[in-house]
Amino acid sequence: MPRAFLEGWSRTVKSNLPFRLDQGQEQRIDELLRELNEDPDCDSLIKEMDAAGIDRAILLVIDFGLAYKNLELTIEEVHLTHKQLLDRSDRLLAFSNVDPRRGREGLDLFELAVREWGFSGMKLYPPCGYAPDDRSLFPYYEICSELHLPVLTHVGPTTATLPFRHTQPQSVDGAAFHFPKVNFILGHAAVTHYQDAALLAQYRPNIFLDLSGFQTAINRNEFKNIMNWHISRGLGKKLLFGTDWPIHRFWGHQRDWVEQFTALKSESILGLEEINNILGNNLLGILPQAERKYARYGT
Amino acid sequence: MQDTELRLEVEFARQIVAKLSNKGVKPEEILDEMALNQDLGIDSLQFIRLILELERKSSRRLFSVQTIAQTKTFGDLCAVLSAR
Repeated sequence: MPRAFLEGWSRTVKSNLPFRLDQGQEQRIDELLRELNEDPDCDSLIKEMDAAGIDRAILLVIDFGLAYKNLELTIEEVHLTHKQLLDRSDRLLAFSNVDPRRGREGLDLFELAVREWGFSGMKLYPPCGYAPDDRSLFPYYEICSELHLPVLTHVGPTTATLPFRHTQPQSVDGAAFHFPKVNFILGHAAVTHYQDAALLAQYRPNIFLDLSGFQTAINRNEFKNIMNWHISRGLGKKLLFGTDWPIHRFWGHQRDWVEQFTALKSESILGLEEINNILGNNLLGILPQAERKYARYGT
Repeated sequence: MQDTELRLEVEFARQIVAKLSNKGVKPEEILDEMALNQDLGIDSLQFIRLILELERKSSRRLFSVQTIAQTKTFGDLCAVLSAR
């Protein structure tokens, strides 16, 4: 994670705390946020997946190379690091992300990642400075259409050191309209802009909603209302479980997050079939066919 | 850590939890099995404050990401204090 990203995130966290911090406490917050993001080999993640009964997880590459200067790794190296993780564990999947302003070279890297290195989808991070419906992304979407790869795009605010432009659910509509065979997943949108996102998902068959970030909704006592909102609009097959690892590690483990969903059955908010769909089947339905054989859900 | 020192830290934790609680809980009413969030009314932001106040009082790094995630009850909090 780039240092500038963490700095912005830390500033936001501190500004949202309803009490004053002394200098030592400010430094302590920085330390904890750095520690939160330390899991380079995904060892902690896989241990938590074991405890939670999670079969597989998707790692998301983000190309910060044009948004921030002086990064430790090139975007090629970031992809290779993820490829090593894929080679090491068949429980991990990865989505590639290359800033579309990188031109032909960037497109070649993306193609290599999805055709040769086993990446199974595309990630977009519009706060880096491009819109999901920008025409420079269309060649990428052509490849996604050909290979049946989903595209997951970040929705909503992020670190204070990046602009929030292009992060509204509506920013994806042009791309989803032009590429009806590509399935677009709106990251966090089931929680952050859930009303607008739900409307899009209702009317665009190729738009799905990622639930990661629901931990914040739990902290604000909004989670059940949000789930009711989506379910009452018939979106049970459009919702995808995600935990945004490692961001919410302060508030619980992967097992806690799975249990938040299974517990909705006893409150009659979700049925068993809906829970299985949200926890896995919905995603399996839009991943490339080759990935489906590994998972328990949907078999 | 000596017993007396630990007792003082647990007592401080009890006082600070009662102060931050939005449920008006008194220090002497706090039991080990009480959940910080649901029973004692410590929301996620006040939980951060609780951690920072406990660390300031003891002048030590008491918590890691792992122990923060595991601290659900007042008893869990006491376990972190006594684990050093």
